[in-house]
Amino acid sequence: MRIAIASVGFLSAILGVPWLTALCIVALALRYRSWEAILLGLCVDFLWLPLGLSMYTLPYFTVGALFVVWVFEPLRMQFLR
Amino acid sequence: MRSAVFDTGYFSSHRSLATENASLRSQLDRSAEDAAAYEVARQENELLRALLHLAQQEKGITAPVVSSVRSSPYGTFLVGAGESDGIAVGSLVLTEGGFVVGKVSEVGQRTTLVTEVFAGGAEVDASVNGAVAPAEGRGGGNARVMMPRGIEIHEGDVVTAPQLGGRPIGLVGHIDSDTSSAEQTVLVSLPVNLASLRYIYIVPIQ
Repeated sequence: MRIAIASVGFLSAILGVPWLTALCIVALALRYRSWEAILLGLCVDFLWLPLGLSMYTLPYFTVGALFVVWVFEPLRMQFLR
Repeated sequence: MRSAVFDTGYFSSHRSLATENASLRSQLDRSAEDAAAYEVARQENELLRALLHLAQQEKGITAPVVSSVRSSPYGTFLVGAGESDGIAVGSLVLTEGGFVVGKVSEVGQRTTLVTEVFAGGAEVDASVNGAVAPAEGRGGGNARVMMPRGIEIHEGDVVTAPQLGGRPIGLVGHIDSDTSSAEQTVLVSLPVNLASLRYIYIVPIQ
C-alpha cells in the first residue's frame, strides 16, 4: 500500500496534477513514518520550481511535506501503533 | 475424411468467404489507422504553418511543449529544446498568435523550463490604451490589473507589456467598475488555451 501510494504520488508529480501529489503526501505522512512524503515534495519542487528565490517561488511542496510529516507524527504515534 | 467433408461444396465456400472477410477487415483497420495518422500530420502541419509567420518576422526557435501546464503548481512547463538549440535564460516564449505566454527560467541541455507570464502571484507591467499598471498573475493564463477609472477600456482591448518589448500578453476579458472606487478591475486573459498548446516560438529578449 505504501509503495502504491508513493508510486501514484511520483507519477502525478511528473504527469498528473499537484493536488493528487499533495493528497499522496498527506496519506503517506498520516499512515507511515514516511520519508517518501518528503521526497515527493522535493521531487515536485525540483521538477517545476523555477530558479531564483522570491516570494512567489518558495519551495512550498518541500516545506509543506516537512510540515505535514512533523504535524502528523504525534497523531500517528497516538492512534496508529 | 475431414478434407472430404470440409473442403467441398458449402463448407469450402463458407471458409473462403470467412477468410476473405477477415482479410478485408484487417485492410480496413490499416486504412483507418493510415487515415488517423494523416489527420495527425495535417494538424501538426497547420500548427507549424501558423508559427511560420512569426519566424519570418523575427529570429527564434520553434519548440514542442513536452509537459502538461496542469502538472506544475508554480505555473511552469517544459519545452523540448535547450542549450544545444541556442536557448538562453530570459528568452520570451510566444504563441502562434504572437502573444507572450512566458519566459525561459531554466535551460537544460535538451529541455527548458518556462515560467508563465501570468503564473500565480507573478507580476508584470501591463499597458492598456496607454495606461500602465502591474498585472497580477492568477494562473491558467489569467491576470488582474487595477487601472484608474478614468481610462477608457473595452473588452477585447489588447494588453501589452512594455518590459517584454511591447509585445501583447493578453486581451481584456472583463471589467469591473464601481463609481465609489477610483480604480477599475480589469481581468486579462490569454486568447489561447494553455492546456492545448503544442508548439511555441522562443525569441531571445532584446
